[in-house]
Amino acid sequence: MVVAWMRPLGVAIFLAALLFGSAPAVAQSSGSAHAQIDQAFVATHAAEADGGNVTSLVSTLNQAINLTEGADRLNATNPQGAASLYSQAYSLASDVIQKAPTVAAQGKAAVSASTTEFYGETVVLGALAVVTYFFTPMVFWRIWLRAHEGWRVKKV
Amino acid sequence: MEGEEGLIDEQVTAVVVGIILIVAGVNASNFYLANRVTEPFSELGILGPGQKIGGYPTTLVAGQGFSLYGYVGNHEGAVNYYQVLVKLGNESTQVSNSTYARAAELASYGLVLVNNQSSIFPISLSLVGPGTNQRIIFELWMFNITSSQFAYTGLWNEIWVNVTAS
Repeated sequence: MVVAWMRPLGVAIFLAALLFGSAPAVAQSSGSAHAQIDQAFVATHAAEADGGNVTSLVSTLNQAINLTEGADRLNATNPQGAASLYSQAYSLASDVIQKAPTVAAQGKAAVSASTTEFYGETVVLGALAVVTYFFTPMVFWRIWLRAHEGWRVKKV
Repeated sequence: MEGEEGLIDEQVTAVVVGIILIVAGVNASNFYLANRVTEPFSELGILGPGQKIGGYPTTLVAGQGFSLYGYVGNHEGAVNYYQVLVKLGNESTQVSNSTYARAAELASYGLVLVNNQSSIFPISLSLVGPGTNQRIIFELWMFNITSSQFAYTGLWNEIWVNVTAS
């Protein structure tokens, strides 16, 4: 008798736990996915400021944003499906956060190489200007003479 | 004769040194002015169902979906995280370049764009209640790194519609 009476109560407690227990879980998942995307954007912005090419990071970030938007729409009707999308979005955003320092390091290296190249070119051009200043007349007349070596002077 | 030679020497030297200086100047300006944006700005546009300016709905049936397209462009000189908020207002809703609309939010669309990138994306909406002179307001918000929050850019658009009962 006691068992028969307790069975529907047990089912009711289980359903209540499922209902009230799952809702905060989805909400937390939603909030954490959005927060992770914000963090991923901050990391992407920093990587770009260091000179990194963030095109790939931005593409992944947009995928994560699309997933959270889909989850936001789905949340009211299908919380489980929404939770799955939030989880995927969180994972993609985490991937961006993980890759951003590498992109930043590559950017820094590229900026450093570009700066070195610029100063190298400037030194070469400066040296060329000095060489030109001192040697152009000699080189010019040597070329001129070679070009006109077959010429004869005619007295008029 | 010697004077003439000296003059030619100077002319040739001047021309060659001049060319070198021009190349050096172009090189320096490319190095220092690369990626410098003098007037940063963002763009917001709303396109009709044919992805063109025009063909916007003026009369809608309550509960029936309709499609538009949003256009966002980034010329801020850096990667940016945008959010387009779609709100439902009426004749008395206040919205300007400095004040965002205090109205019910219908939908939001987020996107990240690198500098000089633009994007066109579909907007699917459905208005629930009937009414005349309803305004679908589109606002562009941008993520602020310092405050870690979206801030209103001052860019907005709107479409006026009459919604009839289904």
